[in-house]
Amino acid sequence: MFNNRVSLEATYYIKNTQNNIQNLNLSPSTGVVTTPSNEAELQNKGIELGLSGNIIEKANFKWFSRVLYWRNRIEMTRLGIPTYLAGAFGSALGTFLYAEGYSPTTIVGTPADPNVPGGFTIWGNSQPDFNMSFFNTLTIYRGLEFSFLVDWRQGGDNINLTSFLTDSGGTTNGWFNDDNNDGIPNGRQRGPEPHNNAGRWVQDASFVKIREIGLYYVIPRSTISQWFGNSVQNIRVGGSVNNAFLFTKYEGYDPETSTFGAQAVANNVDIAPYPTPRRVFFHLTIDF
Amino acid sequence: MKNNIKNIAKMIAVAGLITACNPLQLDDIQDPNNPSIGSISNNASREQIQFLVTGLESRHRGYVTNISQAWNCFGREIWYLNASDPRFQTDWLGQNGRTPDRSYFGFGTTGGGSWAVPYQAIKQADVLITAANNTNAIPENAKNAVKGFAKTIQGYQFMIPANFVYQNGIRIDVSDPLNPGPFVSYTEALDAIKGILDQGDQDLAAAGSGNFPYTLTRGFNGYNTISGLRQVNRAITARLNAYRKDWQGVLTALEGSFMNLTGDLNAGPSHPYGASPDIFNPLFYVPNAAVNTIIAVHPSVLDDATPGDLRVRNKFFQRTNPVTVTTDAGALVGTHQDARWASNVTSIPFIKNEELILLKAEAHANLNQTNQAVEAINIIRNAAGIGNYSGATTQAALIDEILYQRRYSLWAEPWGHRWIDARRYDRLNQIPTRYDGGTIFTQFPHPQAELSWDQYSGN
Repeated sequence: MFNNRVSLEATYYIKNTQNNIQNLNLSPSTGVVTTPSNEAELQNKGIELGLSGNIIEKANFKWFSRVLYWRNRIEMTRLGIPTYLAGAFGSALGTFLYAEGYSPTTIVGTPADPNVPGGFTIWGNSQPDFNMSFFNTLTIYRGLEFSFLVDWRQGGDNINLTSFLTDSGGTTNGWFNDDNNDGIPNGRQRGPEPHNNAGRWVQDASFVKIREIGLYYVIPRSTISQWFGNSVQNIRVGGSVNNAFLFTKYEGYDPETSTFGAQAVANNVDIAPYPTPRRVFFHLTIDF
Repeated sequence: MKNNIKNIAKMIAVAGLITACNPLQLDDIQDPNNPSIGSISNNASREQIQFLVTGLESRHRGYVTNISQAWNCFGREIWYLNASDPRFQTDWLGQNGRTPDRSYFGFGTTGGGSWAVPYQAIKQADVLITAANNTNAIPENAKNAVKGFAKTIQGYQFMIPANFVYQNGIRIDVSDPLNPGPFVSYTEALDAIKGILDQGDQDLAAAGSGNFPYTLTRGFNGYNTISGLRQVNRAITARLNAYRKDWQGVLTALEGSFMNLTGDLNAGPSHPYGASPDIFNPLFYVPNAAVNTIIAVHPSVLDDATPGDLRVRNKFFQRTNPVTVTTDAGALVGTHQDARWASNVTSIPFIKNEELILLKAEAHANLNQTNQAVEAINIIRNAAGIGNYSGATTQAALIDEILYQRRYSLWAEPWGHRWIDARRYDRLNQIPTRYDGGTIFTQFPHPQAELSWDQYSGN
């Protein structure tokens, strides 16, 4: 499009997997707790869009930009075994629902709700509504290059047990504030009434992150040969920052980290794990 | 040459297909660490039966940690203070209006140590009974001894889920894993357990006399004879009959038990513990250890104590530094810890002479046999150094007194005595909640996994 300056990629997929191995939970009163089964079927549906192109292409100024958008929906199309809950720290603090017709990323917890398979209230879903990323490179006067990458995750809930721990100890920021002026501090009145269920800790983990910023300068040939003659071919200097800025309403350190690391389902359980580090680099590249 | 090699290879391949082993057919290999039930359900050897007996003893103590920590919290005999996870306080004490659900903290979807674990012991006993029935390697009286032992343990273990869910009822017919029987009411369940214990006693009787033909751990020292195991069986039956309110039955069972009015009150079978590969006594905490996870004596037990009571002096140890745990429901302070265990390898009794004498007192009181009830109470009181009973001798007063003595004599045993006792006399409202602002639970609903199974199987 536009003289090959813009390209659009689009993918839509429906991926079905069969014979997923799951433990069939028997009636525990038989003394036998589980037996393996391979009945489960999962369906992933999603869309991925990519738009990239050179927005400006002048001799002294170039701007390349790429926007990616992706979303995924997962559904347990068949479970084949009794509904069960697993992951994280049990129903009182939020756990995951494995039930036919539901996504296994569904977060459920107290209070009990007999209308939902598995018997607990649905509080959220760890799967984001969508993700976007926005990558830009600007080249100014040949030698100067500036680039940045922005990540946006919309929706998707975390089980924020960091809040649970700091609330218990009374060390949460703003714990003593009293929004409803009833004399009981906010730290004792989280979430929906009666302030004792798992919904207190399920929080929207939307964020915008400036994932990367880089600024580089390639010293012109003529200057190099003035300084070093023919012994040095190329010099590039610059600086870059990882995870430079985070914009989010999420209350933990980082909406992206998980105490259990990268997992298919329980990848959003936050019990004060280390946040992703902000790193600053200085670069000097010399080619001989 | 090249052709020769090809021909030889072909011949080998053909020969392999015709005569030798088929590479697609694998030999069945038994997992030596996890032997299948099939390997012992037919013609088990004597050694295999011995392994099953020891395995059953091991399963038999699986409930101890969960019941000791949780049920004794429900009955406010202890607080299980745990600073790592506030739910041991908030959820187990029912603070801020929490009530048990089908996947409650500490029990999971299977009911954990209060449901799945005792049922696993019941299953293990079933496996042992099947193995003993279907082997020619051991004589008839040894078979009967094994079956009697297995059913005695089953009777004990069945009482745990029954008391956990109380009026919700339990499954009794659980021998087929894919086809469990229906839930029956608490009363029906207790009657069925009575049947199992009585059968166990008859099996032991049919085994003759002398030593139990298999090795039991030191937990059964003094009871590892046929007659000793029958006494244990009858002791368990006496406890059960009290829950059934069959007071004459309590007295009859006690006659066959190891009750000894002049003997050591602590005598009785126990769960043994030891160093690795065994497990340590889960209730032992080093005195004054600087920890924030500990079983602490509930303050009401200290407040209600009779001055000079030796049980208080011997069982409770006052810490130099109290343990304090703060949660979203406030702070709990544990000033005293459990002093019953000399070390982390001390055995934990699961039924003892002291309880049998108290059962005798309770049965007599309920049968209005006042003098005999007071006599039994006085045995307990004098052993505790608090002198003879001098209060009223109405039935109500005697029951009050017996329940009070049971709080101190059976304090924090791995059974949750006070919770069950208060419930069977309809006195759950007398368990104080003012120390922690919690609620007293009556019973638990069936674990979620039972409900999920019934939905899955269409029952």
